[in-house]
Amino acid sequence: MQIDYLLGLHDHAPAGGGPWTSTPTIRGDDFWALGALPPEAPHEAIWMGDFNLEPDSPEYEAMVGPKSRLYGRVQYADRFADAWVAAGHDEADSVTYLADETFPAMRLDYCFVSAGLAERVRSAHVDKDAAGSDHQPVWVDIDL
Amino acid sequence: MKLVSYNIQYSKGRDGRYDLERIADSLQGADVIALQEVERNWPHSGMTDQPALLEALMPGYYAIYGPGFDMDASEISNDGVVTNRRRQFGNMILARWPLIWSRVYSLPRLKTVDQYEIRACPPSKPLSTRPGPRCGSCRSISAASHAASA
Amino acid sequence: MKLVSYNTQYSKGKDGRYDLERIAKTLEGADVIALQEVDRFWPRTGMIDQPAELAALLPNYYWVYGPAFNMDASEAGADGAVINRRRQFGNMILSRWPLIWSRLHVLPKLSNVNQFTMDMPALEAVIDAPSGPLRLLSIHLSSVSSRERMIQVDYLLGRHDGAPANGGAWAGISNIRGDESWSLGAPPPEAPSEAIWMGDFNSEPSGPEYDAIVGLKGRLYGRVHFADRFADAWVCAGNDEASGTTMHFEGTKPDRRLDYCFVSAALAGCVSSARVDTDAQGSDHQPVWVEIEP
Repeated sequence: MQIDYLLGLHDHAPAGGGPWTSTPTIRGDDFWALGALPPEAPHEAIWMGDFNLEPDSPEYEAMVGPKSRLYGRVQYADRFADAWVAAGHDEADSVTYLADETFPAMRLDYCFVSAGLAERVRSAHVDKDAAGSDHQPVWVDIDL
Repeated sequence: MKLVSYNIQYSKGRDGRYDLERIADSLQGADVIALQEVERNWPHSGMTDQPALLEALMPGYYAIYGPGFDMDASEISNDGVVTNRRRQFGNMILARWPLIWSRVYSLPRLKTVDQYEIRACPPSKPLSTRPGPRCGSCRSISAASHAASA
Repeated sequence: MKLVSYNTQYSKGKDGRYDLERIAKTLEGADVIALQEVDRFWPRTGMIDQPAELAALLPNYYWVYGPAFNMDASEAGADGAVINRRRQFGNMILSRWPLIWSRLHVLPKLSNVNQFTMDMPALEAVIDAPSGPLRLLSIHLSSVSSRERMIQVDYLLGRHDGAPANGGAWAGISNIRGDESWSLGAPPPEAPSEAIWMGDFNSEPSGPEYDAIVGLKGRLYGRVHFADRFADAWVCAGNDEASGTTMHFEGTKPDRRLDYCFVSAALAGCVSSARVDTDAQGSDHQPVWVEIEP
């Protein structure tokens, strides 16, 4: 439900634009825009965070595409790629939440990039040593 | 460009210690940082303003905070003057370049009766003055059974 | 309970003077205040923090601020240290009683090429009122077109319909694996399905936005107040829906009724009076006052 909402916002981005659009003046008064042009709202996006889901879930599939028998994950232009996978790793081969007395080790934290940005991902790693939280930081190096 | 995403569990580490400096150390060298579970005015993290403290620990970054969870933590004196304070929980984005614009989205949620869950909130913003992608810091609800898409 | 809604035009009055004290004086006596167009760190208002200054002028109120428009206004020093600052524009809710929880909705927007439009807010809060929790939204719809406003109204009605399933700021059990530090030992906060919507709807009773909120005007029965929709408090108080203009124009342009207080149909019987403060000079809009007995 939350992923659907976010994907809806993503699809709406070209029509919605940034925080303000069109002419910078209202009745000749430009103190709204402060002389600037409307800010950009690129359609391409990077989504990072704790998604509380795992790669075998329908939410992951909604983000990065279904797993086809012949072609693996099909990356649609209006959807995302998993930067971890774009960097050469296997989607199931990562842990960002270490096992504790209640839960097993899980991959919950991700960096998704618009499909068009996937080829710019150079590398990705999980900082296994960080002890500051119950999750581990996910690092991605991207050519931007 | 180096991006990092970190659910910081309001700075509570595996040793049970609340240590924001340790969090900031883990983030050194990043160009863009997406954090989740950043708190303001919670008793368990000492009623601190974590976004402000993190900004002070990382002075070279532009920063925004977007709480999805926002509850009252105010006090009122005997003469009726309110010290207005909000207990907040949410995401931060920090970047070495200006965060041109930003928005907090209140994600829809389903109420559960057997798991704790709170509102999640991804702030989203485009980077700098160069055309480039938008960046969002997300946290879904913790009751996984309700996070499924339709 | 006295409620007031006021689009403050960032304190710019009819005389062109920016005066927050004048705004605060206009609001005296209110129990609950819904404001729109409150600035933070804009050059036009002297780079001040209007929510903080209003809070200082109204020290006996709890408050929340919700900016939908949020842009960078930071400065970087020669040593690289950033003075982080955001230029913001949005709504406030102030209340005599605590605001148990609050939520900001950034309304959907349509970008266009020939009129200025911007991100618009709906700020939601539940008030810990003596009569019980009261859910209120301070709303500001787009001024530019009905097409955009209808998308925003549909969004708000969708969230309204989803309120019972959605709940408040948190739901479920009050501890996580024995840790009560999340709920602080309290039960889940309420999220009443009834609500009060106050604000600048930038549309008139003849528009589709009004129809969607209070119901179509039927030939036999007039406006039917559906249980899952709203009533116009101004009408509940005995006034005609076409009266009660809130924006006056000099010259020949007709006055417009743009600011409203809508109450869930179940609360329609609680409205005891409504008035527009036609004397207030602090903004280009007039405040709308409603008294309810919840």
